Amino acid sequence: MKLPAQCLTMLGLLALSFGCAAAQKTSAPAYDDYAYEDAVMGSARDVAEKSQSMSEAAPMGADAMASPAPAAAVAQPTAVMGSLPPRASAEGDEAGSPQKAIADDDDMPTTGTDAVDQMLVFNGALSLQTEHGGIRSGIDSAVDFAVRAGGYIAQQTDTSVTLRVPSKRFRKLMRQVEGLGDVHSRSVHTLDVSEEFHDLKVRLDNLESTRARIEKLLAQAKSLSEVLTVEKELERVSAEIDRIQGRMRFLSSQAAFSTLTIGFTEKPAEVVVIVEDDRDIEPPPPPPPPPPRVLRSNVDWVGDVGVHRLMALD
Amino acid sequence: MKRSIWMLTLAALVFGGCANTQLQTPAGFAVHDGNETYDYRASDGEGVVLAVRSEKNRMGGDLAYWTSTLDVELRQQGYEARALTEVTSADGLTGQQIRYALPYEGRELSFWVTLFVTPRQVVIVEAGGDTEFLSAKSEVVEKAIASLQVG
Repeated sequence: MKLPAQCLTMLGLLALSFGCAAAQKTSAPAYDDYAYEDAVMGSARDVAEKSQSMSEAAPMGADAMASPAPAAAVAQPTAVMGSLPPRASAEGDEAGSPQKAIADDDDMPTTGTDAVDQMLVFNGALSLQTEHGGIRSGIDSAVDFAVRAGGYIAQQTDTSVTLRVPSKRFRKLMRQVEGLGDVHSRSVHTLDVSEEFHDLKVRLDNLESTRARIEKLLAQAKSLSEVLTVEKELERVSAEIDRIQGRMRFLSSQAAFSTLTIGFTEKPAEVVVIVEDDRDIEPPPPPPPPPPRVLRSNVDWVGDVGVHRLMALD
Repeated sequence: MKRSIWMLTLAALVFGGCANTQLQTPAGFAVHDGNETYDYRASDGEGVVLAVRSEKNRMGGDLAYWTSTLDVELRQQGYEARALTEVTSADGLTGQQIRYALPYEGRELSFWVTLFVTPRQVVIVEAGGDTEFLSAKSEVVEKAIASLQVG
């Protein structure tokens, strides 16, 4: 009685293994046969151990995968590509062009129409110099811009602020903030997470298929040990699914909102420097004219008149 | 002989240029005797000096001539004219007074020259001293000058 039950379990795992392999052949050949083949040949404990080693190898397998065909094999993550315009449908390219969609949403798009398949994370940095005493008002204005754009403050200090805004309004916000002072430096770093996101999506699909099969197998389990073994595997697969989904949510969030860090400095207090203009300087007065030539008197006493002679004691 | 003495005395008075150029000595002043240049000279204890001299009007110059001649001479010696006023002697003769300043060893000396001119003589009244002291006695000095009898 016990033997047939084990046979049934083995057969179920074998079918599961073949099912997984079939599902992965289209996209992930490295995530494949040997682990589940061993599981079929081994005991339930062996199944658990091999499955564990498979889970460790899975990310490597996913990384080694060829890029999945974006349109056919993997659903496009348009819902999480906050920065991207909606993709034109195959039959409606003429009616709803991507450019029109951009124009409807924003007059200053962050990405071009050719970037519809990309998940881009924008990180911008600006260094602004405001008038003396204008840092506080500059930060307030930048925050206002971000809030009006649907963003929020990620971090703020006395002289800097980090803003998070929807990616589609990132460029417009940056242009607005640049008007708050003299731009000393600006930089934008873009991280393309499309490939990672697609890899995660493929792995998620595979794991969900695996989980469905395990659940079926669980329903067919006859003994307690079989139930425990299958449930343990189910728990591991579910945990991996949760981890991948979390990572995908994180990437989605990063792509939907971009980060702009603004550092403020202020100009020194205005110092009035009086530059003398040569044109305003009056020319020095001309030297006094020489004394006129006069006829000196030849009268003796005239030269004898004076205060010193008067005050002499002789 | 007696007649000759009288003639010589008269000639000396006429041709020697001596005149009765006396003025009233201001209070606080004392007269100095025995000076060949001045007919009269007096001073106070602070060195303010008041003197009168008479010179022959050999060139027949008028008041304007001698005033300008003396002014040119003093300016060339570094005197700076501060005021020119008209004065009248006690016997009604019109004269001119120029007041000068002259820097001296970090101080300033004042020098007043008053001229009365007749066809025969030029009477020069000089007053001088440290500006601080002469200014304090300007009123009595002006009164003394106005008391002059040119003759």
